[in-house]
Amino acid sequence: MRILFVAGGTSGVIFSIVPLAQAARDAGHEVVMAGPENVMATVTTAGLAGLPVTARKMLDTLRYDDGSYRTIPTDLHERYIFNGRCFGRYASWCLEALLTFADQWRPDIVVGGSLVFAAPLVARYAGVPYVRQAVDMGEPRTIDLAAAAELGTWLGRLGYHEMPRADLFIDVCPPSLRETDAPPAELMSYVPFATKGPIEPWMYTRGSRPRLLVSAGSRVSRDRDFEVLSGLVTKASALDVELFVAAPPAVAEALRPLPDNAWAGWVPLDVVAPTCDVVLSHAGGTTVLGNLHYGVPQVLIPYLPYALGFTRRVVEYGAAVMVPPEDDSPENVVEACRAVLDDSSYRRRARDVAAEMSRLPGPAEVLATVERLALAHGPRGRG
Amino acid sequence: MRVLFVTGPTRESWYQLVPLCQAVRLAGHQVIVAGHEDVLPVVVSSGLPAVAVSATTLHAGLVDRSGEQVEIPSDAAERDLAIGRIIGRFAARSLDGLSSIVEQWRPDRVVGDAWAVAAHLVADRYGIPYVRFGVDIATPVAQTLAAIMELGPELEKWGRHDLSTPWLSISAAPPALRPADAPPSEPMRCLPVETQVALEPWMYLRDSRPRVVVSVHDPSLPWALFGPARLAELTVGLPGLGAEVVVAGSPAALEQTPPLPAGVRVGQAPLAVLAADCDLVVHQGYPDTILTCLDKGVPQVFLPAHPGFVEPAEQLTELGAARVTCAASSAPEHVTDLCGQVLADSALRETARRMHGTYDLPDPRRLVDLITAEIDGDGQGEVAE
Repeated sequence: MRILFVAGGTSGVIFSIVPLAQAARDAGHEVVMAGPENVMATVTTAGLAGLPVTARKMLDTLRYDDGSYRTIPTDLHERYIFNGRCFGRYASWCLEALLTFADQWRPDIVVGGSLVFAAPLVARYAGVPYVRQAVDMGEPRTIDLAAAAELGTWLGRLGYHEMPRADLFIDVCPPSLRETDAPPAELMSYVPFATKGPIEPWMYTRGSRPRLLVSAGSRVSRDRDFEVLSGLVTKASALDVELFVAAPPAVAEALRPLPDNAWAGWVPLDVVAPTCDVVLSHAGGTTVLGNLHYGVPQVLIPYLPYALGFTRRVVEYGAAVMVPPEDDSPENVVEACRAVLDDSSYRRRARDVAAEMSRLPGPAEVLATVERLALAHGPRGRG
Repeated sequence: MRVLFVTGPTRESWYQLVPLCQAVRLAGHQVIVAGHEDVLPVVVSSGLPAVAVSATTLHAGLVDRSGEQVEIPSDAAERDLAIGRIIGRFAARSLDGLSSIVEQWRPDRVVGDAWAVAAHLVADRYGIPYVRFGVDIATPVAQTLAAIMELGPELEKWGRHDLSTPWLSISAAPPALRPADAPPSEPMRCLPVETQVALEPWMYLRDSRPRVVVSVHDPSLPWALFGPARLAELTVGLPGLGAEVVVAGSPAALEQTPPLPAGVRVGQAPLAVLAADCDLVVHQGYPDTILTCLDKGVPQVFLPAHPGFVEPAEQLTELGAARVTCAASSAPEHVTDLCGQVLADSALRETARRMHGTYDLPDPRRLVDLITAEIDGDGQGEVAE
């Protein structure tokens, strides 16, 4: 059958849906993953057929048409609405090409990541079931609602009175960390996927000292974050650890000279994480899930408000320590890392989650549900 | 069975719910109407028991949750979202009052006006089947979605991700005006209802001249761009057409109407009575006015009070039953000319008259059984906290 995957506008959210798409391709289905031009390399290097649907980038949603930047609100409710509207805006840019492609290619079913709001619309338009796959451990629900409102004009044009609801929701959040009111879902084991490159022995072998990995994300280009990062490197040099800083080349260069026990540059998280004793990050959804998959305890600084919900759940579970963004001095961050290294309970809890995740059905098994859904609906949506 | 009806934020949106509400009551069910203090006198005057939800008003929604005054943007898409958020804030401020009513009275069904988003959320919260009632005219889907978006924090607080799909949806949209994006619904004939007054002969008797009714509307919507004063200004030339001119509206609307030329009748008179025998109704495009005109098969001239009212006006113009002009940019002479053309246009009059015949929809009594139908495994009225 023909399965259309609709990807989001950033690598992180694409990584999450790659395993199911690969499972579908490996089962012999025709698979196309649609997304913006600037992520096509991410899609095609995952071995998937990529369909570019817009020349605009996710980051362009932060600007007005004249190029000036929109003001990001500080009030939390307004900020969620702002974020949701950005996702809605992004979806609206993808729709024209997606609908044309749906007419030409006639998918049997559409799979979209949680924040990809073009997916439900193209599914409904094509008259086929829509599968929604969580890309991390959930976002504030106002984001979904605001994306829908932003797409109101499109909905009106297509004659729909609401966002089409998912026929199947696949969640990748381990059961112990799901919200108590999470919607009914088919649970799937989260398999980390990341951009690949040649790996070296130090990446997959441990040394004698504990390993601390800092996953700096894309935020380090900002001045303030860089200070936190460089301060951290200095402070961590006092710890008896190996320190790895996963950072873009320019940031890694700026950090040099590094103390003897530190290394900065490209780090394939899915290769290195299993050798680590603690991972420090800004609590990006896929980073947190990936480390849970490998049973690595974490120190989380949820800089983006949407990450606060799941960060709290992981902390409550005992698999991570949170440093509130307003307390992110190098001293505090190093202290939190030391606490995780010194107390084996974090490692134990992280491994408990990993065990739980490994018992969930994998992408190939969940694919069977997707297939059944498409078949029940009939060939090419005309059944 | 206990059926709770919930009004929308404005008086005029209540009127359309009255026939259904009375039909449920006349079928022997217990009915209570929940509405805002503003709306209650109108509910009571419809002969129905009414309870106050809160003292908030739609206008209070012009201040956002963080205390900031909001502007209504001129861009169409932005405006729809801003309007929806006002409706959403109104709903947010209604939730406590409505929840208390539901906890105390424990209805088996909640029937809410499409704009009463709070009713839907509270019904969901307490696990009560929700019946959506909409007229579905001049309500862009973006407005509804923005209202729900505004309720994000409350949805989260009550463990919900979105509003449920209504258990039953009823639409009183006239088929000619029903938008493609209106939710799938059981159709219902919409019967004009309004506040009644003791009739005087001039209301139901006309003289030999053509009769033109200028219907001034309650200034109920915070985003309306003009009100009764502008309408009176624009229609000042109508007596020059040799027509009998009647200006009618609610007391609140008449209060905003400036003194009119000698010979023009002014008063609170039911539009349905006036429209039953007249040649033209000039109005601001509010859905309740449109519905009354369609039901009476009378030609209409629209001076839409805000851009959201333009669509139905254009639809009816296209169908040949009405004409529309912009209230902001038109001069009185232009409006007089336009009305003169309509009065002289027998084809338009005939088309408008035939619109009446398109009202062949089930009347409210036919919906009662659907609303009160038993549900499998029904946890009727159970308070699920």
